[in-house]
Amino acid sequence: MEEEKRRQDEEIVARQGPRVYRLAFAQLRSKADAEDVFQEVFLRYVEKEPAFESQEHEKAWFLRVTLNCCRNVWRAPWHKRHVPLDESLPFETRDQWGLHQELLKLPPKYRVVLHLFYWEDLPAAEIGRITGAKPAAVRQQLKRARAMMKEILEEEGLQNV
Amino acid sequence: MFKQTYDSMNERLAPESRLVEDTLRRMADRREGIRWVGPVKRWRLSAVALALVLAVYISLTAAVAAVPGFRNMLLEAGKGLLGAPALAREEGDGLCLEVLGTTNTEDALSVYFTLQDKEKENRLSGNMDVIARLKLNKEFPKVDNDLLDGAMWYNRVLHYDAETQTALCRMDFDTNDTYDVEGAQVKLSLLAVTKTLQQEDYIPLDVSGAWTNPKTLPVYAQYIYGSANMEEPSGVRVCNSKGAEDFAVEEFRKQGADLLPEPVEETEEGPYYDNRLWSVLKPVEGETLFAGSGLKMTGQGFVNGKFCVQVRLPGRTEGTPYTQCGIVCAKAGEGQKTAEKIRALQEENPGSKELSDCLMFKSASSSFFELDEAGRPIAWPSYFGPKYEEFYFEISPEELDEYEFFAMTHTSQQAEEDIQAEFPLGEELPGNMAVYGPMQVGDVRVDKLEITPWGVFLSGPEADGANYKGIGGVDSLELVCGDTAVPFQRQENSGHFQTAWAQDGTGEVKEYYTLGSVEFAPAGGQRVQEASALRINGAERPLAAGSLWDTAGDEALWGQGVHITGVKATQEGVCLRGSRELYDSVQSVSLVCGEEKLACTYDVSAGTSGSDTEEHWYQPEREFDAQNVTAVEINGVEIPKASFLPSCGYEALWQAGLDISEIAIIDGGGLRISGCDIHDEKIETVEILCSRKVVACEVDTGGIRVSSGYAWDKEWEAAEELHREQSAIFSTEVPVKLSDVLGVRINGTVILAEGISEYQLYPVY
Repeated sequence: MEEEKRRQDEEIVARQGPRVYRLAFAQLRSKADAEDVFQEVFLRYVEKEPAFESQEHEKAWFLRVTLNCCRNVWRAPWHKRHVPLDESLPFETRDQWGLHQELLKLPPKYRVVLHLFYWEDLPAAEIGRITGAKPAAVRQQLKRARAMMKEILEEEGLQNV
Repeated sequence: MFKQTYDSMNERLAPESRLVEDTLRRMADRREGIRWVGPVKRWRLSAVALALVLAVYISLTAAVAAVPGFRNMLLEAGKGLLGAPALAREEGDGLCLEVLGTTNTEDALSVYFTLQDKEKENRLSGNMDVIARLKLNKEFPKVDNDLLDGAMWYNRVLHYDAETQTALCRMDFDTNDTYDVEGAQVKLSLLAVTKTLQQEDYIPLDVSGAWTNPKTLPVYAQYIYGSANMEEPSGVRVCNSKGAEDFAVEEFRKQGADLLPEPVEETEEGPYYDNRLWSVLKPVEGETLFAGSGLKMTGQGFVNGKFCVQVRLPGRTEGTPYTQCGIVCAKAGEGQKTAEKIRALQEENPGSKELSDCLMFKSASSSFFELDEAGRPIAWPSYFGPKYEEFYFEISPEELDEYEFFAMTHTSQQAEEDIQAEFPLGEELPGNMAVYGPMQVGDVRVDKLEITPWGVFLSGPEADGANYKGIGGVDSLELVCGDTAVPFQRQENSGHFQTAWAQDGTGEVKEYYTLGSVEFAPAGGQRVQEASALRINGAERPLAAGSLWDTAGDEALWGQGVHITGVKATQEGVCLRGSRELYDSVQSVSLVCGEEKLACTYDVSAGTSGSDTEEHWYQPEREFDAQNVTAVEINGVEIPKASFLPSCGYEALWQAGLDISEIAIIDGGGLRISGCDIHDEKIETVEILCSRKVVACEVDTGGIRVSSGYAWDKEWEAAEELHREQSAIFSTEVPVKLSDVLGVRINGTVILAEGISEYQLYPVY
C-alpha cells in the first residue's frame, strides 16, 4: 500500500513538478522560495487528496495552489526582512540572464499572466480562472505586462529579447 | 522573440532531484501523520525563530506607548459604520472579542477585531500572537481552494492600547477575487493567544573564560543573519540550497569576513551533503542564565577572529512557557546603561535605527542549530526541540576587555481560548482613504503615504544599515490635521504587509525587493484622512497635491461607471470633473461637514467643458462653510477632502483649458504632468521656476503616455478607451531638485510649489 502511494506520489511529482516549480519561480524569481513553494504545494496535495476529473483539472489545481502558496510567501514576515539572493541559476545566455533580471522589475501579477500565457499556452479565459481575475482584466494585464516589458527591455538594451 | 527567450529560460529550470526526493519523503511523512504545528514551515523554523527573536528585540514593550482611542479613529474613519455597534461581540474567560469591520479588496477579505482583557490580567500585549480561524458559510462554486474550509492564521497585533488592555487585530481570508463573499456568514474563532510571562532586560554574562582555541562541531548550514560590515545592508538568507549558501559565503567574504569556516569533510553518519556544513562551538553543559528558564550559556570563544556567545534555548511543549533570548554587546562599564536605553527606546521609538544600532552593536551574525539526544546535528530543526543559538561579534581576543555582554530574554506562554463570533458580511470599511506621493519631506524621500482605516503606511527607500529594515532617516512622523499635529509611532510588529496584490501592484512590489516599508499605528480621535500636511523629523510637506486616482473612493465610483477626474468643494458649491457621461452617471451628491450631510442638486447655470472632460457644479440644500467640509459623497461613495483637487494654480490651468491634476518633478531631471486633457499641442511651454533660475522643459521623445481604463467587448477587444489618466514627460537639460523648485509655469500659468510633488521616473524595484 505504501509502495503504491509512493509510486503515485512519484508520478504526480514527475507530471506536475516542473510546472509547479516554473510557475513558482516565475512568480518569486528566487530559487529558494520556489523550492519552498514546490514542497508546500505537494504537501497540500497530500492533505487534500483532490479527485481530479481530468488532466486539465489536475493542471489547473496545481497552478492555482502554486499561486496561493506564492502569495503566502509574500505575506510571511521574514520575507520583507530579507533580501533575495541571486542564486546559482542554470541560465546560459546573456539574454536568459537579462530577461531574468528584468522580470524581477515586473510586478508579480504581471509575471503570472506572462508565464501562463507564454509558457503554459493558456487562453486568457483559463488564466482568469486560475488567477481569479476576470477575462477582461487578464487581457488588460497582458497588455500592460507586454508594454512594461518592452519598455524595461529597451531601457536595458535588450531589444533582441 | 520574447517567447523564444522566455521558453529557453524556462527549459533550463527544473526541480533538482534533491528537492524531489525531499518532497517525496515529506509527502510520505505527511501521510503517516507526521506534521508540524501550525503554518510554520519545516525548513523555515530557524528563520522564523530568528525573526521572532528580532521582533521581540525591537518591540518588547512597544505596546506600552500606545496612543489611546484608536477604536474611535477606526470607527470614525469608516464613515458608514460611524456610531454603529460592533458587527459581533462575544466574551469568554474574561476576554471580549469585538468585530469592528471588514474590508474586501480584490484579493482578500480582512476582518478587523479587538480583543480586550476585561479582567485586566495582563494576558494581552502588543507583541503577542493571536491564533484564530476564519470561516465563511456560503455556497461557493466548485473551486479548488482549501482556504474555503476555514483559514487559520497566526496574527500579530496591529495596535495595542495598554490603558484599556485592548488589542486591535486583523485576519485575512484569501479570496483572490474569485469568490463573491457578499452576504456570507462569517465565523471568527479565537483559538489561542500567547501572553508575556516574564521579561529580563539585563542579565550580565561573564565572558572572562572565553575559549581562544575552542573545540568545534560540524552542523548543518541552516540560517545566518547579519553582516560582517555593519555599514552595508545585509540579511543574507541561507536556505536548503548549495547555490544560495555559496553565494552567501561569497557575500560574507566580500565584506571582509571569514565568518564561515571551510567546509569539513563528510562524516560517516547522517545524510550530510558536501559543503553544507560549518563549525560551531562545541556546547558544554553551561549555567542557567536565570532561574526557571532553562536558558543556558553553553559556549563562549573565538571562531576565525570573531567572538561567539552560544546559548541553549530549552525545548518546549505545547502550552508551557517558552523563553527567547538575545545577546547584546556594549562598551565595558556601559552594559546597564545600554540596557536602560534599549528599554526606553522600545517604549519611545521602537522602530528607530538608534534602537537597532544599540541592539546590534558590534554584531556580525547569528545562527541556529539543533542536536539530537546523542549530540549529533539535526538537519531539520523541530518546532519544540531545544536549540542552540550563536551570536557572533566583530571583536578580536585583544579587544575583548573593552566590551561587556548581556542577555535580554522574553518568556511567553500560549493560552488556549475558545471564543466564537458570527456575523454577516455587510457594509465594509474603506480600504484606502487617501494616498499621496511620491514627495520629498525635508531630507526624507517618501514614495507613498497611505491613510487607511487601520493606520498610516509609509513607503520609501530602505535605510542604509546592516540590521535596520525601514525607511531611512524617519525619526518622527506627524500628520497635521487642522491645528493639531498627530504623532504616529512606527510599528514593527503589526504583521500587516503591503503586498503586490493590492491595487495595481506597481507601487507595492517595490517594497518587497529593494525598498523598505515603515508602518505606523493609528493615532486617536482624529480624522487623519483630513490631514493637510505630513511632518517628518519636524519638516513639513503640504498634502495638497493628493491624487484622486489612487483612492478607494475613486475605484468604487469607477466600478459604478462614474468616471471622475477631480472633486473639490468651495464656497461656490461642489465641483466634479470627469467624462462626458458624468451627468447621467452621477445620481446623488452630498457635502459632508463632520457629522452633517447636505444633499446637493445639479446647478444648470454653472459648468464648463474641456476637450475631453466636463466640469459640473452642484449646490447644497442650504448655506454652508467650506472650511467645515470634510468630504463629498457621490452616489454613496465618500471622497475625502484630502483627495480634492489641489489649488495652488490648478484652477487657472482649468480656466486656460487644461485639465491637469498633478505635476511632479522627476528625480534626475524633468517633470511629469498628469491629467485627463493633455495633448501635445495644448501644452506649449513648460518651465520650472527655481530660486535662481528658470529651467525650460521640452516634451520627452516618449511623448504623451496614456494609462487609461478600457471597456472590452465579448471578444476581448478594446471596444472603448475610457479616459482616466494621461501623463506627459518633459525633460530638462539640467537636473532639478524638488527642494529648489518654487513653481512650474505651464503656458504662462504658475503652479506653486505646494502643488508639486516628486516622481521617480525609473523606480528601483
